[in-house]
Amino acid sequence: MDAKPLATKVVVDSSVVLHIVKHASEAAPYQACGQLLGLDNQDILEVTHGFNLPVSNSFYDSNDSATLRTKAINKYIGDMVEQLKEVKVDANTVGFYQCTHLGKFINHVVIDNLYAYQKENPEAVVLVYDLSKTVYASFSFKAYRLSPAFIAVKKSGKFSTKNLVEKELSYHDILEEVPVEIHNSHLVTLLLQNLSTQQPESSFTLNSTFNSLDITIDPYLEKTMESIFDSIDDFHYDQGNYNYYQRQLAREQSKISQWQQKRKAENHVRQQKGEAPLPLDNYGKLFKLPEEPSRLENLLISAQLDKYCTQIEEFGATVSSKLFATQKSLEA
Amino acid sequence: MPASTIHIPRAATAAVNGIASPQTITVQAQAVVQILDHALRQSATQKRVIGTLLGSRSEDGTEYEVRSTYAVSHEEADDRVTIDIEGNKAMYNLLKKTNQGRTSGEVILGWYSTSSDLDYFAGLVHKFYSSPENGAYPFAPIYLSLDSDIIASNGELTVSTFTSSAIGAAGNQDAVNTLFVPIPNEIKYSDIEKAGLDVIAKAQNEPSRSTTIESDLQNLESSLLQIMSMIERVQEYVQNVIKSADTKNTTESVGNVAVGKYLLDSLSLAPGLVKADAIEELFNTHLRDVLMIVYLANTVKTQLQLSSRLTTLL
Repeated sequence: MDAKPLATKVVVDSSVVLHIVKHASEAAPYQACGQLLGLDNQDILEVTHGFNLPVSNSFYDSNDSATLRTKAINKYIGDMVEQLKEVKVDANTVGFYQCTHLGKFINHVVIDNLYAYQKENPEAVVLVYDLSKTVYASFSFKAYRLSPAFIAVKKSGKFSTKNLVEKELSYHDILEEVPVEIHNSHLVTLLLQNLSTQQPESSFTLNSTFNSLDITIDPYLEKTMESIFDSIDDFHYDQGNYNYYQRQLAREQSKISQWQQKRKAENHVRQQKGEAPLPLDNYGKLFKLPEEPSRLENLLISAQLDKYCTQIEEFGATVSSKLFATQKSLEA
Repeated sequence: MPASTIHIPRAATAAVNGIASPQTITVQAQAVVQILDHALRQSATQKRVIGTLLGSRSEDGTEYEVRSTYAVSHEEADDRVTIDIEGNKAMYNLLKKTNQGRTSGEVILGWYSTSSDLDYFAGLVHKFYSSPENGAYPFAPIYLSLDSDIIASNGELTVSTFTSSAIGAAGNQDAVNTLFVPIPNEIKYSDIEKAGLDVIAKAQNEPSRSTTIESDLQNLESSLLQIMSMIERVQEYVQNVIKSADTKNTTESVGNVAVGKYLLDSLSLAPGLVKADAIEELFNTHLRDVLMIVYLANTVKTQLQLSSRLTTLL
């Protein structure tokens, strides 16, 4: 990684925002993703163009090793960038966007791909647009980047407990959120101004719909709870694996200490006979310690669960205040 | 028909190959923003930039919906125009790939340019888009012009849409003999796009032309403030009407009495709830549910924290 500090802000052009929104709503209920092009302007990362990636609907369900780095997709990106260069679009890859539902995006697919993008361009980010959250609560659009700690651990190739402690990586800091700003060009500003001064009978009004005052809250909470349950199941499964490993480890270790005890007693006898003692630490040949399973799964599930919970907390705060307010206004 | 008369068919009957031509065109806001984005990338020597319109037609071919666009590079020189035909095709095929398996496949509807001049050039490009290989064939292509030269247009951004009719003697299919027939258009958005547009619209009065995304709570606050200011405005109007009625000051009318009465009625409207107890009960159970879930989420969070601390201790 180079010494230059990474961009501290992502500025997204309004055309990209609308593109992602459109792509997400077309692809629903499936997830969708696409490439982001833009410029790296000192401490600001400008995202100026985005296009869809040809990803099949079963992509996310298929397996854990799904990657956007396949030959076909790479060729698609190459062709597309070639075309866009012709019309003077900034042809510099700055990451990808991911459309998701109810904050479900911390998984192998997204993390692996983000890692691949960041290896090529340390500035790369993933823009996460949450369609369901936009429908049920408020517009949700966030940018994330993998933390240096995560990259360091990933580079070392092993997600072992020792490694995690050394690099101080916990599930809290897999991803770093980068603040997002939405930017309009002068022309778009003009268009918006024109449209908002238009006659009221025009169907295009930019008045707020007051979506955030809606008090239908059940679907959102229900679905998030379901996701939490799913994640907890996954967590348990992974924990089970880890527990199994720990039991295995404990068994092996007790075997080793038994063996060492035996050796010590033997050495005692040998010493009395005036012979050289046998070494105590060559147990590696006799016993094999079990391999520690990767902690990555655990990290990701924890991060996802944490995300769900934060989501509910945030939602709960607004919803309870809304409910209280409605109650009061009904009493009055 | 003598060759010297000009025959101009009405738009409704200006059918190409017997297929009805468009009557109304809806343009998705996203497409307009894309065109504007392209307009920004126009170089100083170019008079305009052009691109292809994608979208869908209704079954009878009278309603068009422009949903997205892509830019096509071209060069103008004197009376010649070079369009990147290969690029246009390649782009369409690339975009088609990502639309696979969707019912809402987008097809080429026509083209756009960022100049409102209906000149010789426009005729040439239009001809290109009506050709069987490249364009909307067998349907008539539509042309959308959005003048990005805002100094000349006095700061008005007008979206105009046209279809074409061939004019002139039959058989003489020269490009210049094209009459652009205006078609009414409307800019629209879907409910989901609305959320995105709302965010973008927030930046419209900012000098920096930028905005950040608010959290749920901030959103709620701004919505409430907006509603309050609206109620205040209505109250003020009603007050004004009452005042002017009191003083019998008809010359300086501040508001319509009928409108004032109507607004007063609306203001005093209260939700007509018959069983207040039942509602109260419902609210309370709901609130308890929410609090319970929040509590549960908190517990899960704490457990997670604990678990991660304990595993790293080993």
